[in-house]
Amino acid sequence: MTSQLQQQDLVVYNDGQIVSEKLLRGEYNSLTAITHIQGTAPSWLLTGVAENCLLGTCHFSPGLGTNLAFSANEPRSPVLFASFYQDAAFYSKTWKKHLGLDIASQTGNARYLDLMEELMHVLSRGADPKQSLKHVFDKISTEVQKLAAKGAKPSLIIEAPELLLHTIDIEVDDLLLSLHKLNEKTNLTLVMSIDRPLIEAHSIQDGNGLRGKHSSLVLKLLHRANTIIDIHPLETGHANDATGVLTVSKGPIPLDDVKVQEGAYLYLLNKEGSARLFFK
Amino acid sequence: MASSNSILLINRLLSLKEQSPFLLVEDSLSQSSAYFTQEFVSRVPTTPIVYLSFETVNAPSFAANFVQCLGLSVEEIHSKIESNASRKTIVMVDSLNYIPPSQITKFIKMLVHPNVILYGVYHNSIPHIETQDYPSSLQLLQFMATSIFEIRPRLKNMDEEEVEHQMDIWRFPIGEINSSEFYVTLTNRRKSGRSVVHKYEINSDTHEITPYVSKAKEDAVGDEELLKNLTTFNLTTSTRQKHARQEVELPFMMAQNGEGAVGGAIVYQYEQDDDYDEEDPYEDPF
Repeated sequence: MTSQLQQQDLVVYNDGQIVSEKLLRGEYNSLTAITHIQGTAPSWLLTGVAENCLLGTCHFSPGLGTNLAFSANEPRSPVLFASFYQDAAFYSKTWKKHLGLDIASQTGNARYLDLMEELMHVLSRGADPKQSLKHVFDKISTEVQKLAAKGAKPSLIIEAPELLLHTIDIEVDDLLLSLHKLNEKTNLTLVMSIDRPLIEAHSIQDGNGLRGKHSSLVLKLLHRANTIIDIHPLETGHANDATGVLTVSKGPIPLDDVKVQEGAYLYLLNKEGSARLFFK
Repeated sequence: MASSNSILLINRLLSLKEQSPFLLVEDSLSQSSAYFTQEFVSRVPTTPIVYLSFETVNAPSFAANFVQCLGLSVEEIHSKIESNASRKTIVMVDSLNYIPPSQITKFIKMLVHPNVILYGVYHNSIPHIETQDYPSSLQLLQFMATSIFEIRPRLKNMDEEEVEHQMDIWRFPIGEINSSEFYVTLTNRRKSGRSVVHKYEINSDTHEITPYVSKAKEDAVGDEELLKNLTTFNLTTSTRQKHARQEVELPFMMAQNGEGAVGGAIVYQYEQDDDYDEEDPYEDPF
């Protein structure tokens, strides 16, 4: 079905961009929430967001063209990608292909942090949960400062922050405070899982239980978001020509200078992990 | 007449001319209170606003004093608020969800002052922690608030049930949610204890507030309109007549309490003038 349709560019803001120029240049620090469930992993989308922040292009939005004004040395915005979910090896091939960067180099304007490894390292030394949380976020903050020192406001992408709640015994508000402090210095993109068994929608029986903490974190973060991008499977089941649905919607916090371009797309992932988008 | 009164009330409340020291705003993921707050702020340009932030990263331009509160205790928050007792001040709390139920009354009590108008937002989408033998934060806030504004999305193509279902399964309906046009249900409590409820439609771009009339009510009014000028007889019913009609107890309602109410049996009760015939082939077999 989709193979006969014309491929579309992903447009998130009304200036035709995935990450708006006004957000990258302005003083306002935005929060974008990317939600997904098991089976619709957003790694392809995150590579595209990182590419758009850094180079102004996006491999699944050919309409954005080749932006010669930006390069890894002169980026649109420096990018820090911090993941609690995947190690550097997982993204190295796609980063090399689409961003033209060696993810392991850890230099320049695009950096990758494997936070789960960092966390396990601290925990193995016997640190208590609050110290571990502080250590992990200090590490991110140091990298953000290094990128900010080059002049432009960094874009920070954090994948699966909710895994911290699953791993160490911390309060939801402690984690929110740490994320809040990072958001004060960056345009933050948070990637979160919203699998239904992990979410209690109306009331929490046990405030210290995993479901309660996960629900509280995700919903509190969604209430802070300017933009919500959700990817979910097709409601009609498996199809050969469409992998899932991507929706872009306004978050509860409106933006002044730029508007969210709401829309729904079908996306198709090929074997190499490249995506093509079509209007739904 | 009633609609002009309701408009007057909300205009007076939003411009702080009506005495109401605690304004509680309830919102959800489908319709944020941000647009209502913008509307409120546009009507009180000269009143200083102390903004208590639990979730706002960027200090709003209207905030005279922006206080970062996440991670602070109730006492620490209070000590950070500069008090200027002589001037009317708005204390705005971006989310009351971060205060535990056991602390919420203390938090409100500390902020309340004769010259302070407290404007607090509560997100209904964030699940509350159930506590035994103690009311939830929302129940306590609703009890303390003098005016409650409940914000709902103004849906264009979907009905409320459909949107609710979509939000329950974590789908965010496109073009339907978080718009600058929305509905507000206002519950205002008078000093006498009487509370009045009004519904409005607000457009925060044009600053237009109109009374909201539900579709069903609109249709009923339409029927009355159709009957007008058709004949010289008065075919319409007045409010008093409608009320009287609702009060009439219908005869079959009595039957629900009798013997036949259970099991669907046909029960015939002989009355004084009935002629009972033992040979009657059509007699009730029961």
